Amino acid sequence: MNISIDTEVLAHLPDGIALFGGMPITNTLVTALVASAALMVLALLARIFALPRFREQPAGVQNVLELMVEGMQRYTIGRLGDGLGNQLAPYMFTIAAFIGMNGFLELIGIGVARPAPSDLNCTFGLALVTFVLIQVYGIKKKGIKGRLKSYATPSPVIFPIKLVTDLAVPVSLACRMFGNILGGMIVMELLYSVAALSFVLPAFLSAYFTVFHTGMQVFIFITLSLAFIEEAVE
Amino acid sequence: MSPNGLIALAAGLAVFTGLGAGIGMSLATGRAAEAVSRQPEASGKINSILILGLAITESTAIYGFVIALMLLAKIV
Repeated sequence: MNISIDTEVLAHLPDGIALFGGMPITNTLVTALVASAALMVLALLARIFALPRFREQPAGVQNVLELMVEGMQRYTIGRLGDGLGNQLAPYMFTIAAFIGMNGFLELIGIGVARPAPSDLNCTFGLALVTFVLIQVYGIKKKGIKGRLKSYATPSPVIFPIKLVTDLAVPVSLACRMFGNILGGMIVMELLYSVAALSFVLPAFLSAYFTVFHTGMQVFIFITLSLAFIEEAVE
Repeated sequence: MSPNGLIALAAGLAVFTGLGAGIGMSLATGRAAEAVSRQPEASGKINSILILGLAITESTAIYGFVIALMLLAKIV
């Protein structure tokens, strides 16, 4: 049995394609693309079939959709207030949908069955988006000068410390999600590799190590992102 | 001792970060239980603060775990 934290390279893009010449195609990249495609198809289906049939009295699919969207909106607005909460709800929902779909694909084993967040590149990308959002909202609220000044309070001595703390945010966000989801995946792989344990038991354990773990990590990622943005604009 | 053995030892040592995380999380959970028993109506707020704190505490253990995995990948 061989479990590595490096992703498996399935193929290389040919050199002829400009910009991406020789880019490796890993199994996590395939899962990420499959998840994105599945989400797009689901969104299109919802747009074509569910949305025109929305009524004043919700029923069936409409109930589920409204529950998800309103739940996320209520959560972000509860933390950041009306204006910012409304702006950030779609981004947070996108992250939740993407990582949730990856967990679902891992669960049913479609494609290469290695979820995208078990690749440090994927989680670091998501964390960088959050980092940019923190800076953009912070600068938009206070201006560049005010933002720099907030680093230097209460005294200019701690400026470098605060700078390092700020730069550590994407690293810690990325490593946390990467470590947790990779850890859950490794436990499940170990379980499957032992013949005596590889039936019945995984069905129960994957409920924890795949579903609950993934959901928890999404929740923590969203909560921390909102907390950091809240800190930047206050 | 071969380099591989040393790498494996280092990976084992790296996972010791779990010790601190475990103690920290147990302290936080104990205090949260105390707070809920004192003020049951605030349990929702306490819950969300607790989960945030646990997440941040847990990440120290996760860093150790990630470093252990990175070390294990070095074993030839």
